Amino acid sequence: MIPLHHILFFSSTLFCIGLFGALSRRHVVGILISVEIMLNAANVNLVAFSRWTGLIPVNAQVFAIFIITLAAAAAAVALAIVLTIYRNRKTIYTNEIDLLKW
Amino acid sequence: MNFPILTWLVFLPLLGMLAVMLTPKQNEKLIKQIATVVSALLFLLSLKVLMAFNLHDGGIQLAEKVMWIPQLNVHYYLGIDGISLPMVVLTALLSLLACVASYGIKDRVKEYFALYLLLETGMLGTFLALDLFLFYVFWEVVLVPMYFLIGIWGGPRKEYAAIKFFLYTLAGSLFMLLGILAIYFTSTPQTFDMIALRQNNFAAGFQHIVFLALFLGFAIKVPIWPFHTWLPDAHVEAPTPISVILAGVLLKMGTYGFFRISYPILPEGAHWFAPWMGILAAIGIIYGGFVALAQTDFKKLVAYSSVSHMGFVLLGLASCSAMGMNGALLQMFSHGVLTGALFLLVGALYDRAHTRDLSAFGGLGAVMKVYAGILIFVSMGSLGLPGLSGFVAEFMILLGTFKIYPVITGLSCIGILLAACYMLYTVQRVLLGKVNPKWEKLTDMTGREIFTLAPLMIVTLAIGVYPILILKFMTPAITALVGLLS
Amino acid sequence: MVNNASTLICFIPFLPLIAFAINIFFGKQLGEKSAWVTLACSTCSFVLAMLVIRPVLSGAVIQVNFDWIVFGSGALQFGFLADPLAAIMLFVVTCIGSLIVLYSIGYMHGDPRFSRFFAYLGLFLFSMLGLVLSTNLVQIYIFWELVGVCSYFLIGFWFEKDSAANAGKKAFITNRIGDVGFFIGIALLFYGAGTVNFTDLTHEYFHHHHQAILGIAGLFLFCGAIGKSAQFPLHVWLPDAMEGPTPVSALIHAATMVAAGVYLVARLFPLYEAFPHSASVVAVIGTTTACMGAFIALSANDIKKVLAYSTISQLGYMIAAIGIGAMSAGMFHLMTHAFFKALLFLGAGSVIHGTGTQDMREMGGLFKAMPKTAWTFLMATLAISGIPPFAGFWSKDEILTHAFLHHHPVVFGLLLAAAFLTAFYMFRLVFMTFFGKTRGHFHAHESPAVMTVPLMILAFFAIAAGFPGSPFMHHWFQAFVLPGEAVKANFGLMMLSSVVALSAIGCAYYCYIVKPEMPARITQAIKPLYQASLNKLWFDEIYGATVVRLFQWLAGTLFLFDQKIVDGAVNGSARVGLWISKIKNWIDQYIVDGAVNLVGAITRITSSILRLFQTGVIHHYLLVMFIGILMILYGITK
Repeated sequence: MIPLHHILFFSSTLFCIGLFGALSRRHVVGILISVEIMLNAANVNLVAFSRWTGLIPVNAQVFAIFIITLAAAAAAVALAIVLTIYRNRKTIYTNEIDLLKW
Repeated sequence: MNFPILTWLVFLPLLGMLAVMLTPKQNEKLIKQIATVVSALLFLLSLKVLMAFNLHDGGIQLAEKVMWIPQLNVHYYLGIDGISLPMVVLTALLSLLACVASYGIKDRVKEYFALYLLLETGMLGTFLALDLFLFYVFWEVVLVPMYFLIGIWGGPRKEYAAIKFFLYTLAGSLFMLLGILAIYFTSTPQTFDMIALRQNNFAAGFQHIVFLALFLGFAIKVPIWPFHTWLPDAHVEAPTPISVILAGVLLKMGTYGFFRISYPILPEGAHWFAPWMGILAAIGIIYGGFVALAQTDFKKLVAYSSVSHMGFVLLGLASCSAMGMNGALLQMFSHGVLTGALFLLVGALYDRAHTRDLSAFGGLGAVMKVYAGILIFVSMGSLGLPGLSGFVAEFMILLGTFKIYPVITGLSCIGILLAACYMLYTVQRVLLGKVNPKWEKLTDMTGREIFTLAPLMIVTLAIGVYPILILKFMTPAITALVGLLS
Repeated sequence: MVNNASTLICFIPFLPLIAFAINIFFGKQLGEKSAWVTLACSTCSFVLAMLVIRPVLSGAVIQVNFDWIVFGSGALQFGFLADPLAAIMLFVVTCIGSLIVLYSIGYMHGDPRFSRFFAYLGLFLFSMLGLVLSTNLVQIYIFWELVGVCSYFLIGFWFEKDSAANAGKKAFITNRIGDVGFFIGIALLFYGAGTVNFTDLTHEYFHHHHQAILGIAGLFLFCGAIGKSAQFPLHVWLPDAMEGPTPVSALIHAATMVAAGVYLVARLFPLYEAFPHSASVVAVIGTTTACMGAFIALSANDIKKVLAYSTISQLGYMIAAIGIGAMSAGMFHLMTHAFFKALLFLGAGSVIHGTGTQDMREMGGLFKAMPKTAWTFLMATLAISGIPPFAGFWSKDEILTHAFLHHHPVVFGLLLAAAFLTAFYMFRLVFMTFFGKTRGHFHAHESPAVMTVPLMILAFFAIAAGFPGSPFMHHWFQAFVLPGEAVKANFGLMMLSSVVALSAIGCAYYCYIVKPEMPARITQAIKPLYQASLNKLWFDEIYGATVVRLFQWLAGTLFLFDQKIVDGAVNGSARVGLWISKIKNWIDQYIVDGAVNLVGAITRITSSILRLFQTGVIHHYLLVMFIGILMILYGITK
C-alpha cells in the first residue's frame, strides 16, 4: 500500500510541472496541455484522499470524473478559440496576442 | 350662447392651418384656396360679430368663459367690446386682403400659408382674450410665425431683421410677463381675469412700477420712440403681405394693450405716467416725421411714417380724455387701413420695378394711371386730408389732448406738417415729373391688386366722411374706460 | 320759402361733387363731353344758390345741422349756414365758377387729361361751397384743407413739368404751415369759448367773455388766413402756383380760394373786434402784404406773375380792411376783386392762348389782333386801378375812407401808396401787352366765343359790381353785411384816390408809351430797389437758406441719429449681450468644465500608471494569480 504522502508528493510535482508549463509555454496548445496536467494533478489528489480517508469514497471519484468531463469540454472550447485566433491573427503565440491589454 | 362665435373666430384659422398642412405640397392652388376661404370666412364671422354687437353696451359682450387651469385660476375667457371690435374687424379685413396679396409668394407655399394662418389665430386671440394668461399666450403665439415669415420669405437682410424683431419683442414681453405676474400675485383673490382685476385698487406705488413694466412690453410693440428701430428693418425685409399685417395689426396690439390692460387695471399708474407718454408721443411724432423725410427707400419711409402716426395714438392715450382716446382708437383703425394700403402699393411697385429706391422713379403718373390715383388717394389719407379717416382720428386726438397738454399738442401739430412734406415729396418722386424711359413699359394695376386696395379705400373714405359709422361702436366702451380712469 | 331753401342748400355743394365722381370714373368714355357735366352741375348750383340767397336778402338765416363726430359727452355738428356773408361768397363762387368752367372748355381743348381737369374743378367747387356754407370752424377747416388739395392737384396738373410739381407741393406745404396755426387756434377757441359755431361767436358773446386766451386764439386762427390768402410772410406759394392752367389761376388763385382767408377773418370779425391787439396784427400784416405785393409786381415780366402779385396785394387790402374794422368794406372789395381779377386772369389766359407766351416783353400791340380780350381786359384794369365808376373804385375807396375816418393814418398812407403802385403796374401790363409794337414772333388770334363770352359777362360785373356798395344805392351792400353800420361817403377822399390812380396811369403812359427807354433809366437809377423787386425781396432764397435747410438738416441728422445712436443702442446692447455670452462661454469652458475635466485628468494619470500592469500577456496574469494564491494560502495557514 503506497503511503498517502507519496501520492500527494506525486500530485504536487505534477501540479508544479503543469504550473511551470502554463507560465512558461508561449504556445497556446502547450498552455492547454499544462492546464490539463494541473487538472489531472487535482484529480490524483481527489482519488488519493477518497482512498485514505474515511469519507464516502464515491463522492470524490464522482468529482474526479466530473473534472475530466469538464476538462474535455473546456479543451474543446479552448481549441475552438485558438483556431479562431489563429485564423484572425495568424499566430498562436501568447506574447503576440495581447488583446487583453486595455 | 349656442354658437361660440368668438372661439370660432380665433380657432378657425388654426383649423385652416391643419387643412393646409394635410394638403400635398405640390398642390399650391388648393393651399391658396384654403387660406383664402378661411380668411374670407373669418371676415364674414367678424361681420357677424359686428351685427350681433349691442351699440349701447360699453361692457364686454358675447363672452365665453371656461375654467382652463384650476390650480392657477386661469380661465379660457374671450369677449369683445367697443375697443376690441374695431381691431377684430380690422384684423379680419387685413388678413383677407393680405392673403390675396400673398398669391405672389413663389417658394415654400405650403409652409407660408400654414404659418400665415397660425399668425391669424394669434392676432385674433390677442384681441379677444380677457384673461391675462391667455392674452400672454396669444401674444407670444404671434411672434413665432412672424419670425419665420420674415426670416424665410424676407429680403436680403431677413435673418437680421427677423432676429431683431423677435428678440426685441421678446425682451419687451418678458417685462410684460413680470407685470402680469405681479398683478396676479397682488390681487385678491388671485386671478388673471382682466375684468375682475378692475375692481382691485392696487397701491399707488405698485401701480407705477407695474405700469412701467407693462409699458415697456407694449412700447416695444407699438413701437414708441425710442424703441422703434426694429420696425424699419422688419418692414423693409418682410414680404409685402407680412408688412401689411405687421403695420396694420401687430403694431396695434401694443396700443391695444394700453386700452385693455394698463389703463383699466392700473388707472393710478396711467395718470402718473401719462405726461411722459405725451412727451414720448410728441418726440415720436416729430422725430418719425423728420426721419421719414430723409428716406430714399419707399418701405422705410412708410415704416417711419408709422412711427409718427402711432405717436398720435399714444398722444391720444396720454390725454386720458374721452375725445383723445376715441381718436386714438380711431387712429389705430385708420392707420391700419392706410398703412396697409401703402404697403400694398409699395409692394405693387416693387413687383414691377424690383426697386424701392424713390430717386429711381419719376413720372409714373403718366404711365400707371390707376396706380397713381390710388397712391395719391392713400397718401392724402396718410397726410391727414379731411374727408379721409386719418384726419378725423388725428383731429380728435389733437383736440382732445390740447386741453390737457397744450404745448405738447402744439408741437405735435408739426407732425401734420411733416406728414404733408414727406408724403407729397414721395408722391412727387414717384409719380410726377418726366417719365424715366426705363419705366415706360410698366403695367398698370391688375384686378387682384385693385381688389386688395379697393376695400381699404372705401373704408377710409366712409370713415372720413361720416365717422359716426365707426365711432358709435367705440364711444360707449371708451366712455366706460374714461369712467374707470377718473 | 325758408324751409324750401334749407332743403335746397344741401344740394348746392353736392352737385359739383357728382360732377367730380362722374368725371373721375367715366372720364375716359366721356372725353371732352365731361366738361358739360361739370358745367351743368355748376350752373345748377348757381341757380340753387340764387334761390337760397333770395330769402337771405330779406333777412332770413338758413341753417341745417347734423352730427358728425360724437365723443364722450358731446358731439361735433356739421351743417350748412347761409347768412349775408355766406350769401355773398355763394354768389361769387357759383357765378365765377360757372363762367370759368365755360371758359375752360375752350382753354383746355385738346389736353390729354381734359376730363381729369373738369373732375378737379368739380371737386374744387364742392370744397369751396362747403367752406363757404360752413357752420363752424371745424367744418371750415376741413373744407379749407380740401380746397388746398384741389389747388395742389390743379397747380400740378401738368405734372410732367418739374416746376409745376414743385409749385403744387410748395403751395400745399406752405398752406399746411398756416393750417397748423389755424388748428391750434380752433383748439384754443374750442376750450376757451366752448364753441366753434359761428352763430354762437357773436359780438355779444365776446362782449361777455373776454379772456385773453381768446385773443391769442384769434392770432392763431389768423395764421390759417395768412397761409390761404397768401399774406406776408407765407405768400411765396401763390406766384409759383401760376404753373397751373390759367382758368385755375383765375378761379382758385385769384377769385375764390385765396379769398377764403379773408372770408375766415370776416367770419371771426366779432372776435377781432373784441380784441384790438389781435386786430392790429391783422391790419399790420394786411398792409405790409398790400405794399409788398404791389412793389414786387412792378418788375415782374411774366403776365401771370404780375397778376399773382397783384392778387397778393389786393388780398392784403382786404385783410387790412378787416383789421382796421372795416369788415363790410373788406368783403365788398373781396367781391369786386373776385370779378375783375378773374377777368384779368381769364384775359391773360386768352392772351397766352392766342400768343403762346407768357412773357410780356415778347408781347405788345395785341389790341388789334384780340379786340374782345383787350377791351374786357382794359375794363378790369380800370376797375383794379380804382377809376370811377368801375367796381374797384367803390370798394377800394370804402377801405381808404374807413382808414382815414377811424384814425389809422399809417394804414391809410400805405394803402394809398399801394393804390398808386397798383394802377401803375396794371397799366404797365396793359401797355406792354396790348399797345406799342409786337416784339415776339407769333401770329396772335382772338380766342373762340366759348372763352370770350365769359370775359364779357365778367366785364359787366367788373363795371357793375361796385354799385351795390356805392352811394348811388345808399351803401346797400355794407348794410346787408353788417346791419347797423353807418357808412358815409367822403367825396374829398374819392377825389384824392381818383387823382392818385389817374396820376399813376399817367406815369405808366409816360414810361411805356411816350418814352419807352425811361424804365431802363429808372432801374439804373435805383438799382438796389429794382433788384429787390425783381428778386421778390429774396423771400424764396431766404426760406431756402433757413427753413428748408433747417428741415433738411434736421431730417438728415435725425436719421443719422436714429441709425447710429438709437439703433446703435439696440445693436450695441445686442453686442454687449454677445460679449457677455462670450465671457460666460470662457468661464464655462475653462472653469466650470475645467473642474470636471480635472477629475477626469487625475483619473487618467492614475490609470496611466496602473495600466502598466496590464501587459495583455497571459503568462503575467497567470503568474500574478499564482503569487496571489500563494499569498492567500500563506495568510490562511498563518
